[in-house]
Amino acid sequence: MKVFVQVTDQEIPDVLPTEIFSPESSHGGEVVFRGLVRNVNHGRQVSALSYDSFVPLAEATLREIAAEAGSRWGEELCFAVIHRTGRLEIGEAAVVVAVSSKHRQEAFAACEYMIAELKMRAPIWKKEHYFDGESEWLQGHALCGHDRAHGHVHGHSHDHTHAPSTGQTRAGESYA
Amino acid sequence: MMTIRLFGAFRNLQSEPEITIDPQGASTVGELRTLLAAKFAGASFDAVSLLSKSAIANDREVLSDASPLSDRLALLPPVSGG
Repeated sequence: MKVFVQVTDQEIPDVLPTEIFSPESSHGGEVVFRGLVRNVNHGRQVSALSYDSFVPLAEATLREIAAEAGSRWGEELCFAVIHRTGRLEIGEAAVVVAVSSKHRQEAFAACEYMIAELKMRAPIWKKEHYFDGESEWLQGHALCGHDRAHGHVHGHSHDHTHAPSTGQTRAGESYA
Repeated sequence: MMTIRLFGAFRNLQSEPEITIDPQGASTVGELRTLLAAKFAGASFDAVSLLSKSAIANDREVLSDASPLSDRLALLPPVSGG
């Protein structure tokens, strides 16, 4: 399984170079998801976004998610996952997830899993800038401690499900 | 002294990206939470509430409250990437 992950302040290229993402010759499909900065959120006009990240743990988490996807949909899959940091303008790509596989179903499923789990688990934060000059860090999904040797251990008490799950949307975070 | 790196909304606490804190005998992540709650009590936003929803991690993993402290940790509020 080939996995490339990167959290970077550099612009993500429109076409990923082959040293970052190159499907195997046995692969019949590649799926590329690009997450773009949009100009509205919850009805409020957004002028730009800024992303913050704890890069070493974010990249380790992305590798972990890719490994989970590989164990579910095939160890021969190829992955490239790149997430931006810093200030991004409307229309810029904030995240790209590229997956290739022998058949399309595995690539679609693994790509969806990667982006869904990234949003829940990668230590990355989004700040919205508005046209009125205000800005705001968005509320998000709480992280919790995992103990790989014993399943998982919560650092503090709350309810939610854990990956690797069924691939379905997780139960809601339940902080009061 | 130990260093706690700040991310996301915790960056509103101060201009510097990390805080230095005297562990005062604290030896676990759970005990560090108590110290941080006291330190954040006078913040300009509800940092104590945000702390209760936040994880504490090293470069490799999110830590449980029973984990021992190390010199350099990170305070991670709920995440919103993608």
